[in-house]
Amino acid sequence: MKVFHQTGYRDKWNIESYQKGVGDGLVFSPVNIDADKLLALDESIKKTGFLDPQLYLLNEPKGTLHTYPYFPGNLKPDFTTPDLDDSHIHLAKLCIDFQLQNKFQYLVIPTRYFEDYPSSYFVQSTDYFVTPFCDYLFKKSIDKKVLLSVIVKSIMLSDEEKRNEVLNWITGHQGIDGVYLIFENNFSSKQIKDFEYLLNALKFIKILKDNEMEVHIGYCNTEALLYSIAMPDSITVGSYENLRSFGIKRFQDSENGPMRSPNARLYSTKLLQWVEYQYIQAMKKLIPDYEKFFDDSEFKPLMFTPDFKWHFNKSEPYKHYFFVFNNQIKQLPHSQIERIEMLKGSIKNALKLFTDIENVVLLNDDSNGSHLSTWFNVINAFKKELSLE
Amino acid sequence: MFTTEQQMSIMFEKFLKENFGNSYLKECQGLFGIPDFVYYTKQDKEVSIVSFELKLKDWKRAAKQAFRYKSFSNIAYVVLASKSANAAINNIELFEKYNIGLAKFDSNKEFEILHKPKASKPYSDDLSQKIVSTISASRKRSKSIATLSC
Repeated sequence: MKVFHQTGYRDKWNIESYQKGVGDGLVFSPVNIDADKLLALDESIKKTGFLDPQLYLLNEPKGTLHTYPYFPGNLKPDFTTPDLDDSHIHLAKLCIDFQLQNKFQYLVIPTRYFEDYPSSYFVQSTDYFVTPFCDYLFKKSIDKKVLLSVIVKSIMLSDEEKRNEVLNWITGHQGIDGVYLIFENNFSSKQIKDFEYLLNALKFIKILKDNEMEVHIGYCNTEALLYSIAMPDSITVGSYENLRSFGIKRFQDSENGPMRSPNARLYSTKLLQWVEYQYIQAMKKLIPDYEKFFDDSEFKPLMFTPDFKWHFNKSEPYKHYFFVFNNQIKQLPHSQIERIEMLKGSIKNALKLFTDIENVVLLNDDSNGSHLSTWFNVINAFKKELSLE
Repeated sequence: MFTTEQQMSIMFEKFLKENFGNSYLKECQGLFGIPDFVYYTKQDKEVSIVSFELKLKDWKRAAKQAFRYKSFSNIAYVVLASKSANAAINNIELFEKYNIGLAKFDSNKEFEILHKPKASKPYSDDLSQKIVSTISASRKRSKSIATLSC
């Protein structure tokens, strides 16, 4: 299973980590990197990754999105949905040409985002994106693999009819090799703790794999580990929280308003949890060998010096996460059943470690591994699904 | 009986002023959590900090919040509305285990300590320095907090 870097603001950290051998490629983000700058990036950085075209909102020129030739606002000012009738073929050409120019590993067909999906969504998506993109690729005899972007909303997981509709749509196209799958995350907790949501996400991935599609899951947080048991082809690592959880706010200008800075956190592969650094300070005072709960990396010695100024803008905790999480993913067995058992073992171990910590440190629900019992139950339920077949 | 936490906060502020003086910060931000009140005393350049988390109910959440305040406080208290204190009293061992103070408070400004914690050194040097520098210029008068710790 591959690990892609979900890049965004501070993509420099991802590129530096990738160049040191962490991860298998990068997913580039037009709202964060100027088109010319992306074109100028060394081919070695791009040839294993792909572009997330980010046409989620047609006429929202967030960040550097307007520097991309296929940005609809460059085709026509105040571009709206009806304009796609006249522009979809041209837009497809510009978007593919740009991706080809960058020599990415995969070509990606964009998707749009709606709060409430209109009944015509799938027909429109086929007409405006899938068909013109596939037609142009066929015309140019391009033999690169093609991924279809899909945002999966909660309702598409929980409602069987809607789930079948989207799965039928994804698997009903010729010329599509796989899917760039994005689970929309509207949860208020840092970790997803919803049993049904997680189990349905696993089933969703499995159905796509059963249909011999490549599945590349974007915007993953630590639940990428859980998704791994459905055997996707790749998951992502990201630095800031908005790269580890998909929300449309990231693509809206309103996000530039006042925001509360998140507290700095450190990921532990042993705890399967990001832990707020202030709790680490408490652990330091109360647990003599507290460092054993955290992984070693080239960044750890610096982060654990008393002078280290923890801040969510510091690169070290994120580069540490990329490194240790990538290793954790790479250590997963190739066999599905072995992977399942290994993850169950890791969860049991993490729960035991949390018991040790909580003997002296009272953690809050975003740091205390309270998602792990849900994970464990989801794994058991998914395992049951597998053996029923 | 309080119907909102805001009512409780107003009464508690009066209680603090009357009994301990006005050396406190209200809903202090930029720390680890947002305590409802941070009370401080200064003696011979030694600063002592007591944080209070007020809640009408949900003692467990309040305890988790109060534990966070121990990063920059010598003493952290959960103050519950009297009518909902029983559930916390039934779990007093949690407050003992984590050395968190527990008190109940009612609309007559009756403040009763149910578990008195030991004063301890804050967990975070950075946050301690931050709050000390915030209050260092203050000339507000304070009273002893000896009654709040054992």
